[in-house]
Amino acid sequence: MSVSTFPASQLAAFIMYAALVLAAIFVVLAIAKKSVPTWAMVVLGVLELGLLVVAVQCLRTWSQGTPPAEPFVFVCYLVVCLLLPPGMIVWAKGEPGRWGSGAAAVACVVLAVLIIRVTQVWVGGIVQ
Amino acid sequence: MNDSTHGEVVTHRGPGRVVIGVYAVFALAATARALFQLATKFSDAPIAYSLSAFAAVIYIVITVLLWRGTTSSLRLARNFIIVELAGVIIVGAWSFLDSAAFPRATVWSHFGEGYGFVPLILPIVGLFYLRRTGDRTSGHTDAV
Repeated sequence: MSVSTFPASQLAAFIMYAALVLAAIFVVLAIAKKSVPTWAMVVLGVLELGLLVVAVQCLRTWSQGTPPAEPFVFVCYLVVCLLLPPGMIVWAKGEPGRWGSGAAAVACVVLAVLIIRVTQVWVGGIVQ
Repeated sequence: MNDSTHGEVVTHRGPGRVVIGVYAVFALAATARALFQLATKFSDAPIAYSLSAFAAVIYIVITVLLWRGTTSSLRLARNFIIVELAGVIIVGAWSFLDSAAFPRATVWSHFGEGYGFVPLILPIVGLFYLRRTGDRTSGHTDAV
């Protein structure tokens, strides 16, 4: 099986680091007993747009004849990735106060891990 | 669902949101993983993949019970979390002692190493959380 590099890998890496930074910020907010601020929602919206760009790039590459190494797993991870930021906004907004920020921090870490997994299953070789 | 009519379900608020959220993520991840493994390559590692499926069911059940948040469902959730903790410890130890039985990883092998050891920490957090929540809800009657 041929190994292809991940499409839009720089953008994906950027979103992954942004999610980790955001997670750290949410931890600080939770410790300070602060709710998820509006600007963080905006940042999550921007990350979602970035994820959509990554998804479109992947699907375009796929349609041009370079499929992911693990198509089924790849699609699963990609869909969950795309659903996470909007889900996070709803989930965190439903709980004002520190625990909303805490939940958002967890979700950001999950998002970062999922992005790493998405790129891994595209390239293949590490899938269990 | 005719209990918990007085006020909000306690697990939907505060730290319960985080605990349920993490359980939901693991329910989803473990289920997807187990379905994929069982459907495509069960014969590669039958023990490991069966345990993945078992873990997935446990995570789903705990997520639902925590979400319901009644006194009886939380009591039941506590039992399942103890099963979960035992599962992580037993499978974790087993995967180190008999690596031939685990040519592929499960959620719980090597004490959840592949998931940043969260599977090992999660049941402990869950039990602490339920102990605290139980103190707060113990005065309530249970209609179920």
